[in-house]
Amino acid sequence: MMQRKRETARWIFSKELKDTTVVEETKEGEGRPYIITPLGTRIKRILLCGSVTSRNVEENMTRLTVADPTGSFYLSIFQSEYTPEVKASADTLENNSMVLVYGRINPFKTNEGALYFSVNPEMIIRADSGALNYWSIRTAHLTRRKIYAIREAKKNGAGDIENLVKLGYSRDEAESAINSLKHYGNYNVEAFLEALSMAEKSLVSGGKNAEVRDYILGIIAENSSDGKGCRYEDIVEAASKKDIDQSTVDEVLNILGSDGEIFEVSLKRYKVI
Amino acid sequence: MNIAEIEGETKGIDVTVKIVSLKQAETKKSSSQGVYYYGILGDETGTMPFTAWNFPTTLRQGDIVEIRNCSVGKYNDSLRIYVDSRSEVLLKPEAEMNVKRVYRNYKIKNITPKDLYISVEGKVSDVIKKNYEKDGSSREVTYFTLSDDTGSIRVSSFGREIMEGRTVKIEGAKVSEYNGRYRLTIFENTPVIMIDKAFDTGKTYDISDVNGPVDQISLAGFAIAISDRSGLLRRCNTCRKMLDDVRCPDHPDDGFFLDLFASFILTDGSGEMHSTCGKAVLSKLLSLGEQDLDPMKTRLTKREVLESLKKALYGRPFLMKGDAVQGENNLNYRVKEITELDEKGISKLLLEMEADLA
Ligand SMILES: [Zn+2]
Repeated sequence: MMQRKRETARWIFSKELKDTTVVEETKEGEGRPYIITPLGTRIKRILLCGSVTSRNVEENMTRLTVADPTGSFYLSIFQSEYTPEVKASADTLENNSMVLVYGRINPFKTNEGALYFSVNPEMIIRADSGALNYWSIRTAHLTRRKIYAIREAKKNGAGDIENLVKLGYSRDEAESAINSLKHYGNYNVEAFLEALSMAEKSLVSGGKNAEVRDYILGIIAENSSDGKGCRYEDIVEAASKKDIDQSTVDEVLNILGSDGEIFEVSLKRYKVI
Repeated sequence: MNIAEIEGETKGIDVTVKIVSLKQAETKKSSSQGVYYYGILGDETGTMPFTAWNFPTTLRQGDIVEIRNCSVGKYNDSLRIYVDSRSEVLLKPEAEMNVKRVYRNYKIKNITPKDLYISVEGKVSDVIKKNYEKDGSSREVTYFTLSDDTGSIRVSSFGREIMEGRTVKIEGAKVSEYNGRYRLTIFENTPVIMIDKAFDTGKTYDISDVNGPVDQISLAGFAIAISDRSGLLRRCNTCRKMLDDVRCPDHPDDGFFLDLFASFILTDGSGEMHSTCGKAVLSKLLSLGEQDLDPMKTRLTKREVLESLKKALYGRPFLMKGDAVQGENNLNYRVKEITELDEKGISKLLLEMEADLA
């Protein structure tokens, strides 16, 4: 029987992972470090859901980008003797395939010292839009509770765990809030809440968020080869052909911008990064 | 001072109380070998646990005593009377006292044997009566399920009539653990009061909220890490043990029957739960009939069943109902109902989650 202690897989949005700057120190032989996210989640393992937006299959490694409603996760799947099925299932995926993934978080530093996170999947499962919808709603709920706990802890100055538990937060949530204050005192949780609301709005419009996002990203990529960037009017026009209204375009542009997928070259002209 | 008047930690108080229960234990400190006493003290206003480092050895349960200069401290979140060498204990042989028992109210999901006797409310169902022999005469025990909005628990009633479908408040039910589940026991003189209250059953809980055994609790999430032991299995016709082979080592000539089993981890973002389910759930989920499980007629292979199980369970959100049972290392969720969460189910969950944020 498999009875060794599993490291619980947390459900977090890509934004929470992307904004992470704290990696715990490990002693030799301890394996992967825990990371502490801006919302105070202390994790090694993650369960994520989203749709594949790019893929690069090589013999020894497959790279996948998986979009959730707040941005993207970057997955690296190595050829492994022990779990050949993981890479095999990754290699059958296509763009827009929806997947449920659990895996280990792998922090790495670039030569310039910037910190990034990739996910090394231990399991990749094909999912459907119901799964993505459920995962997103649930993750939004858990994220919101963490943010509310952080707000509450801020109110009480340094905050303490027992106080938060008395207010109805779980011990886990209370510990996260204290962690967040300790490591990310200046993190803008209100901006995260806004990103959440936006993500939820896009979910309500039928879980098609990832498709819309990819479509708009595609338009920008196609129309910015001249170096001046794609015009806003052209995006709106192309989107309208797919029944995507202007306010959705604005939302998606905002999300893409805050995710660092695109940037505004000049006023109302966009380019893919 | 009355017990009901004790509101917090205090020192130097006098109480006159009945010894409701009395136990003896050995001190673990190597420096001072000896015994101490603990149990419950009570008066007309209530009860309180106590610890006595110093206590007359001839005292018995039921004695009424005056304790002078004792103190009240906190232990495990509840108040407790402490008797030490500065206290004085006087026996009151002539006194009489009716102790008012006050039990802490528990929601079924939160019941733990930390409090031996508790108060609980719920609706009665699945009443079964059985006879047993005691002291040469036949007596009746009634088993039933008590359910509130958080879950269910089995209750054994010795000598107390219980009506199916009634909603009751039980004061002073005894909590015990049996086979990884919590049980309640009530007796002839346990107060069972009819109440008029409707329970909203079927709320879906966060896995992190399930801290101990409870029956009939709803959880939602994804199944991951389906164990390779899952799927089709053979069991001995006689001892029902799972067979690695076509023969049971103990009953080689008795044949086997086919059974379905799944072991996986349920994850909901708040935590993870080891989960198992059996034939009733799986034959429905995989649309398998009696024919498929007939060892003479079936064409199914172990591998095929495991594959179709993975196909059915992976990558879809489910709502499950079952019993959380304490295993050796962790709680095990024995799933009795599985439904895929459709858009409607997800919206309902969303509403529950939003209510939880309000
Ligand atoms: Zn046998």
